[in-house]
Amino acid sequence: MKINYRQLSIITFMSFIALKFLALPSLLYLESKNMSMFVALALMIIDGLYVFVILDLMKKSGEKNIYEFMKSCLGKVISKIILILLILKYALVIGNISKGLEFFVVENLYSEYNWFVFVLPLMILIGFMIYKGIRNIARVSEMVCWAIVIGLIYIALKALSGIDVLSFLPFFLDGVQPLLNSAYRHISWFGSATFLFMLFGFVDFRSEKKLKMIKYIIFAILIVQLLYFVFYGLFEITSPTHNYCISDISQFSSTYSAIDELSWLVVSMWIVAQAVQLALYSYCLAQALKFLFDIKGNILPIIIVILYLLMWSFIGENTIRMERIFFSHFASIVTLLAQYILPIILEIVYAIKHRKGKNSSKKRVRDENKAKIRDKKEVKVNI
Amino acid sequence: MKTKQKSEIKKKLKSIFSPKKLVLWLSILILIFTVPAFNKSAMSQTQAIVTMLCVDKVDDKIKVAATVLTPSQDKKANFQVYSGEGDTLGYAVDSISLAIGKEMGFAQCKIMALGENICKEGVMQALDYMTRTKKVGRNAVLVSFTGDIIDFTQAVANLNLEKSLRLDRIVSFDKRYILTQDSNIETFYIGYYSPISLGIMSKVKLSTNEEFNAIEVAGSDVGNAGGSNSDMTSTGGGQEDKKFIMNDGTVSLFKQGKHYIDMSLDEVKKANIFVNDAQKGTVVVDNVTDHIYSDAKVVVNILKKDISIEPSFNNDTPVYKTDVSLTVFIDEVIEENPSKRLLKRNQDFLTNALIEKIKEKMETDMREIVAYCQDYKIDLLGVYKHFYALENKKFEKYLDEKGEDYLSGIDYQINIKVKSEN
Amino acid sequence: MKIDAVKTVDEIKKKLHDSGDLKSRTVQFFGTQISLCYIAPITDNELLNNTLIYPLINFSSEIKGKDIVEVLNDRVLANQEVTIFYDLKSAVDKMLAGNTLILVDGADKILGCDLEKITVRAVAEPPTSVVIKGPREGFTESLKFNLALIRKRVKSDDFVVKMFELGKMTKTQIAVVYYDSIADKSVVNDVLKRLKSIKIDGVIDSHYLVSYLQRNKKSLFKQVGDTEKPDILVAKMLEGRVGIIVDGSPIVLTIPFILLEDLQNSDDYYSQPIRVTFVRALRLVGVILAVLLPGIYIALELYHYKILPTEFLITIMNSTQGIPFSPFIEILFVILLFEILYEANIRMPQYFGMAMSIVGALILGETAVNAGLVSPPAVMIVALSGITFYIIPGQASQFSILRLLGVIIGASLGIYGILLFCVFILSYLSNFDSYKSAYLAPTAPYIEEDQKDSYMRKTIDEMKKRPHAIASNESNKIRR
Repeated sequence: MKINYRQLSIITFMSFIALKFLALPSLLYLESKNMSMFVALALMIIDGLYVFVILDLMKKSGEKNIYEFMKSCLGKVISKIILILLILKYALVIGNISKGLEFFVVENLYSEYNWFVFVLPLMILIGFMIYKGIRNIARVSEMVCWAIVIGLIYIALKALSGIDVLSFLPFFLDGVQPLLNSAYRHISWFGSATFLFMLFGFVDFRSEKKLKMIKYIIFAILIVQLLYFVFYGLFEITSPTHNYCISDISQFSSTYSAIDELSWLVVSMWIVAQAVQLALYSYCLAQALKFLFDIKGNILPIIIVILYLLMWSFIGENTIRMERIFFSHFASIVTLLAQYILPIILEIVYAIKHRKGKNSSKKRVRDENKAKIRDKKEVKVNI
Repeated sequence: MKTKQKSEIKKKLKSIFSPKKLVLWLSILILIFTVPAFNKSAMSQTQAIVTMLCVDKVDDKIKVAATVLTPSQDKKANFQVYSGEGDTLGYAVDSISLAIGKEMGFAQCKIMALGENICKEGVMQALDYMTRTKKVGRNAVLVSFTGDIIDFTQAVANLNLEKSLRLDRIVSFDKRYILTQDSNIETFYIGYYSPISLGIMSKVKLSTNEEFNAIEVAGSDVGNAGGSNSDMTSTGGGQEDKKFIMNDGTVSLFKQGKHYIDMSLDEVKKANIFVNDAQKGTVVVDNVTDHIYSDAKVVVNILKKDISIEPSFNNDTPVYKTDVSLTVFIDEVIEENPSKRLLKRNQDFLTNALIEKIKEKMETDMREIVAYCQDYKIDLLGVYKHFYALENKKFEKYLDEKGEDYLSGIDYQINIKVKSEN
Repeated sequence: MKIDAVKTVDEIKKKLHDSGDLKSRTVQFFGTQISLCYIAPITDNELLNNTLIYPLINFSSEIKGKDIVEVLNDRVLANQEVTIFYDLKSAVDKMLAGNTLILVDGADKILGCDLEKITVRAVAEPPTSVVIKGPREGFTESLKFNLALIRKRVKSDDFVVKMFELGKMTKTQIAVVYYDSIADKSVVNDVLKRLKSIKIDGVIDSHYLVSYLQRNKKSLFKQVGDTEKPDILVAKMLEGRVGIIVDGSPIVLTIPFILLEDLQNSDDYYSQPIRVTFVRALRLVGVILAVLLPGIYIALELYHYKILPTEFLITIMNSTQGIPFSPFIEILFVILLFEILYEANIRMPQYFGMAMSIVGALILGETAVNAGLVSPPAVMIVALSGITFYIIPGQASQFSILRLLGVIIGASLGIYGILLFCVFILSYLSNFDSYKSAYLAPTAPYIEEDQKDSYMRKTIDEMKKRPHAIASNESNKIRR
């Protein structure tokens, strides 16, 4: 049940844009003001670079999963501790997405309803998707990705004419410090490459085209920047009062012509994106739990993940409070360790461990490359 | 023992998740979801769909009036006007809900109109309550109005029913000619929260006398709905009197969320020439005389306008330089004897004399509008924004010295280029 | 086995329970009694007379000392297919399939001549796949005739026909057809293995085999392709698919099946590519309308009136006022009405059909609206969705169930539910791989090479490679 490189690129693309269009831009504005776009840009570029660091590790791990790979590098105990860290990261992301989705749906689409009834179908969907595995999530992402992208671009372009570029000036008025603070505070909204850890051993690198991944990452960054440009340009100083970037842009730009209100349907596509992302991170969480507790089957971790999802539907009513509690220091530290420090440690340890057998490993790499070239000639279809 | 227990748990799990039982669970789940839907009425029947909300303050009480969409036998729109009052806006809105037995739904509310009294006392609380709690879209058109709140609401409803004209469209059309920006809640917020705290909205007048530019609509009598706090007005029935709705281009300016002054159409037009947002406009020049015109009054229509603003500092004196490039065509020429001009069909009518006159007129307008801004301490031209963005440090220093009166120490320069559409 | 020309006929008669259509004729051939035994309705009388009876009676050459059965086989029987049976059971089985048995007194074997009378209706354009420009021939109920229609188009030694019988009672002839060098060997073997392992009393139609061939047996979704036209079958075989022809059925099954197949139409290949791309986009929109439109409508009405433009809301409010049912019951009622009309319409004799349409569509619909039982938007939405079913007729049966589910979910959970429903369907179909082909290919997984004939179509000369989505012999991907 492996996924191909293109599917990996698309999942990465989706992960890069997943958390960015709800409360994040308004939260960023509170501290980084008109420089918020640049904070997001910098963090996304760093995320993009880390994608390749983790992919490099993934290739080095060969057919091993992350736990086996870490065990061979760091030993069992440290590996389990790292797994706990990753579980925390995934759990935070799931909480963030599910709460974001909940508030988005409640505020924008419904005026009265029982969220508990709504979380049940979501649980069934997520449970089904994780049960079917990463290939299923990858294929669904492939199907919905372009509809979401078209929707986002449509919303952005529709509102583009009302932008005042002056509102982005002057640059770096208060220096770099507030931006760094803001970046640290909101780093948990980024770290979009952490899901890659759970894909160790599930990616078929035979069709690898690094350029494709680079293109997808750049495309994701551009789309996020475009929407942020529109968001901050439209709302300027009132940006912090807009908790749902995507729906607020679409609503605000749909002023007088009646058909524009149908852009709500485009906004609804965002729900699909969130559901798929929820499935991806739930899958990662289930995998991590499986490794941590050496669980054999798939059912038990899925049940735990789904119950965890259900738990979120009972927590928190106030968006801002939620974000302050769960996504401040604790979340920042978890993200820093999980995405930004862990890959470096793994790279270093791997390098040290394999320095001795350098010559033999060089030969192995040569052989692997030859095999890769040979394999590339074969046409792959059903991934 | 442990393995036995494990296998028993496995068996139990398997029996719970066996395909047949899963189907049963799913069926129960579907039933849980579906059963309530059987009796659920359409939301448009359970909620009063408000298309316009008017708010004012009368005798220390907040008064609201709303046009509510109601179904009719024909295919046209039909509105009922309901009004209510209370100590707070929330109470006033609730009083209507109580009287009509429906939740008020503001999702389709396209206009929010604010009366003179509430404008004077400050509108931010009302706007905040309506957008945050009642979910009025921030793209709703914002207007201030004169006259009685119920009469105004009824007149606007009738405007739609009788003349098929919508106030939100009338007001948003203003943007092209007489307003520099959209007159909606969001832009008002942006203005309010900006350092200069300037809000702008269109002003619509209601009168009982026929005036130039006014649209006549049927008024109506007001009947009580039975509730102590709420009145109900309906179209039809009763003795009708005539009302006039007038959008004469007047714009209300708000400082700190409170009504400050009204700008007349002429003043707004003058200001508009020097901001990029309003692309359309006209310049009227008198006494043009040359080889084509003889003491003519010429109305020049602006086809395209490019404005480049360059804020700078010259020895600590801020210089606000505006380069205006206009592409124009001659719209109207009023002169005693047009024969001289009419015979010269292939001539370029944008003569040097006319261009000079246009420049002269625009410079005068600029001086006048700058003087207006300085007098009232309102930054209509975006001086603060430009200096803040492009000359930040020097400007902040300048602001420390000048404070609120910063507009008065600036050297305004204007450079105008005019060309014809050809 | 020792044959007694009279007694063995009696034995056969007894075996067939004195079946009335079993006929026999005994003739003397150089002093030896020969009985001809056959099932009259399926035997060609003219062939019987010309190839058996006439040569037997008129044979005058010397046969002294020679084995009569050999003489008959070598010199007398003027038939192209003569089979020798060494046991009575297999001889009777063949007789039931149209062979005439020749029982020679004292011989130890039976001769069988294939004199089957092929009763076939005229070749006509199949009603389910009408084309504007393109071949109009459709399959008939005769396997032999259908093979002839295929052979007419396939003149290659690479074309393989594997024949066998299925059905304990019906002994239906099944033919598995494919191109040896194009079709994937493992797929062919898998199909043959599955077919041969079928234990069934009778195969009345090709659809009897479908549940044996599909992986997800209880799924709503179609997993085996079908066609009624030889040109389509040949085109599909050229892409690497395997065809399964069943005697007595004009529907030929094809394997592997991917969802995109139903989005394609044979007309597509006989029209301008730009037009085809447009039509395929239309079909895709049709699928969405067919399945989701009533669900979205009910969701908007019950939960999200704010999404609707005001003017549209006014229209809906005006037309739905005074309807006695809740919107959900109203739409269910209209759907039920349409489904009943549809079922009645296809089963009705044609001359009733027209009257039924008028009664159904005009009178029932119109009066229901006028009586205020249902609202015009509900009727319009369900009718529009119903019409769009037939933009992809191959999927119509699935669509009607999905539409109903869409309405239930739309009414229970609103747009949010419908979106989750869509993701669920996509997720479910993503795992529908069978016979080495992904169900949603070439979209998921995305196969760049196959985009030339997916949602858009390039010109025939640009389609140089066989689709990668269909498992086929890798070395023969390039069309030559």
